[in-house]
Amino acid sequence: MAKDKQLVTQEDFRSYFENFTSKHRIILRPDINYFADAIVSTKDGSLIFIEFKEGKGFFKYEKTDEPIANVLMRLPQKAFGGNLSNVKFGGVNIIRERNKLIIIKGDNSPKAWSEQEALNDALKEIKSIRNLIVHGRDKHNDTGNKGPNQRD
Amino acid sequence: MTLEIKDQTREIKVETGIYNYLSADFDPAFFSYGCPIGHKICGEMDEIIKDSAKNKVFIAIPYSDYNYEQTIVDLIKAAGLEPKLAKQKIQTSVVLCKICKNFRKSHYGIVDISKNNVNVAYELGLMQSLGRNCAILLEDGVKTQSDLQGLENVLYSNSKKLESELARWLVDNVKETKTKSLNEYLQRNSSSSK
Repeated sequence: MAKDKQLVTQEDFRSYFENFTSKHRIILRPDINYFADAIVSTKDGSLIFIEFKEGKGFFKYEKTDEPIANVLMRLPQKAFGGNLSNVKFGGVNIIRERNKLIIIKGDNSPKAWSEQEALNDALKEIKSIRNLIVHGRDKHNDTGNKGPNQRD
Repeated sequence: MTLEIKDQTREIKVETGIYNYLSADFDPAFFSYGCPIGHKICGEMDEIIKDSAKNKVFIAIPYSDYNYEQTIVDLIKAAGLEPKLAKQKIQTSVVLCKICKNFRKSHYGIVDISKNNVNVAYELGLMQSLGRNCAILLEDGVKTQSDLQGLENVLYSNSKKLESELARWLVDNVKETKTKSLNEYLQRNSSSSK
């Protein structure tokens, strides 16, 4: 009998979140905190939705049977609009919108949210934000490719 | 038909205000995450950020058979700066971690390579990799390791000469130096030795 593919657990995600924030903290104003929802789809993909604002902050974990694109449709973001039911995410996708950060991964296994991935994602984020501040970039797509369903 | 979105980044009206800390106080040195003991995540970063100060000077010298520690420490203090030695505070953490933490908190370094001590040379390399401006002390007549020969040194032959040369280096390189207080100290020392 085929073994079920391992899904990223709450503990995996929390460890990722703690490692990510320990690095990322360096660029965030000291009075701003992390309000994070980690969502893993049993069908495909997983994401972490982080809102940066004043307050105590939290980390929540949710496992859902919805595809990750559908999850994205119910989150308060405008980067990917319309009906996403025919969309599948691959690799690592980043949305930076106002005071929110969404990291969407095509993989829903612990490997996608490991300690090493936390370090990679945090460093990438620090560099991007630094560039954004230095060069004053606002609306920008790192791939140089606007992609489908982007709402301006 | 399924549409795949892969490795994309999208930005919409990012609130850069929440990242004020970066533009105001960001020290590129913290950007180096190379950990000498191989940790992927530095667990000391909070303490480093909290204690980091521009008037802190890390002193890398041999732990034994070294006669100038007090001369350097007194001079640094007279210049209104704060000397940091790795051996100052005994903790249970790994020695290298403690040393790394201390020079990440410091903005300058003073390194004496006269004894060809491997630990000191390693600390100098780590500090330079973090962009720290270091005074490299060398006793007259000592031949250094070949890799260190091209570096500009603060040469000395005795503690008086070390004091005056290092004081000059501090005035030229460390803008937090309190020149008046340093000169007074040097003058006092010079008249008491007459």
